[in-house]
Amino acid sequence: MLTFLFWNLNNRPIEDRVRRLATRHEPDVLILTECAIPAVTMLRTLNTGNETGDYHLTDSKCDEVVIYTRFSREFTVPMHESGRYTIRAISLPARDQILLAATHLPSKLFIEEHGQTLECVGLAEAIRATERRAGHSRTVLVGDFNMNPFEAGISAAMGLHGVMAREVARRGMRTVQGASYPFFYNPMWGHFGDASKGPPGTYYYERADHNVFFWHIFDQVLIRPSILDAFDNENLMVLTDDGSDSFLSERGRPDRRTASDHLPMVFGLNL
Amino acid sequence: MSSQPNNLWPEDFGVIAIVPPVVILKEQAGVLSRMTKNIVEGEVRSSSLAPGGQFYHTLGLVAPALGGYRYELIGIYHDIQLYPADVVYLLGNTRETAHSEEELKDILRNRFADDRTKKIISALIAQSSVQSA
Repeated sequence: MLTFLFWNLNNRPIEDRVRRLATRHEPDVLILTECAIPAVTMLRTLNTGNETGDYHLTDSKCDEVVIYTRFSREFTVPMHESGRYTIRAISLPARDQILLAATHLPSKLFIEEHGQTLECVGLAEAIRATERRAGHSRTVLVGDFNMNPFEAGISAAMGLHGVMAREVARRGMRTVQGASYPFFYNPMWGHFGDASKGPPGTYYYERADHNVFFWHIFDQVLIRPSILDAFDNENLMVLTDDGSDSFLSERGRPDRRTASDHLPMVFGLNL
Repeated sequence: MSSQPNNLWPEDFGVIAIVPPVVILKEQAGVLSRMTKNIVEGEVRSSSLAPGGQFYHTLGLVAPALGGYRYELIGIYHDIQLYPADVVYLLGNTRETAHSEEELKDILRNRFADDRTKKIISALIAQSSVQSA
């Protein structure tokens, strides 16, 4: 199984916590946003006393996303990049190529809702164009979208078109106003609230307003139908500790003092 | 009407016991990567388009934190017989011939220990530290 770990580090110097996560979950692909940890520091930390394989820093022109892999850099080739996202072809020996898109979209603090939606429209088009160029749509999209799964940018056809049910995603495409849009399956819907196996979300935010959700799922992974069989929902977890220490405060919320204001998540693809 | 042609080939082609130069170069590239925690990665590129139908391999020093900056360190030419192999130390533009696996390892050991090599690697680490800070 190819294992991915995603975490928004909130620009905190928490490389030791990243290392503990890496040791515990052994991700093949480590995707970080808001990462202010110098690459040299991260490499020294990850690759000291690591018996499960050394990490490599991969090439990127996207300042918002840093990707380390346990396989050689030569197996990940940037296909399309912007300041906000990177789309890579991952071609591992004896496995079908996949596309990995990783992003950190603007926060609601800096851009209004329509702007966020339009960012998703642009990202969706970039992914479709890259899929056409690659000749397949075995694509996994991961990141901090600063939007919940139910917001238009994530769910709308012209946006990322992420739906909550596999059965719907397996239809492949949907035609709206004469144009066809491919689906993503968005498994994060199942991670809302107390009935989920993990915490109620990946990010906590409240303010003195009427309609407040408190917990949000801004950190998401979306999967194209063509690799849906490789994805088992059981292998997707929002993490609340690194094996030693909790990422949550005493009040049960992401602890930005000792970790990050976002919780990490890990998932796998049986390719 | 078809019939199987006579097999004019020998039963067995034998096994060459010697290690090809590119294997030694890739091993050393991996060793360097591990020594520097992948801050400077050794990377081997190969081509069979060298003059005279020779194979050509280069060992480059790659600094991922510097946008994948690559510095070519060693080049090796050889023909299909694998040895002798000509080793070009690109930093000094010197050329030596290795007639065996052991001779190749001796040449590489000396060139890796050369002050100019050490200086380049330490400079790449230093520059990577500044660049990614």
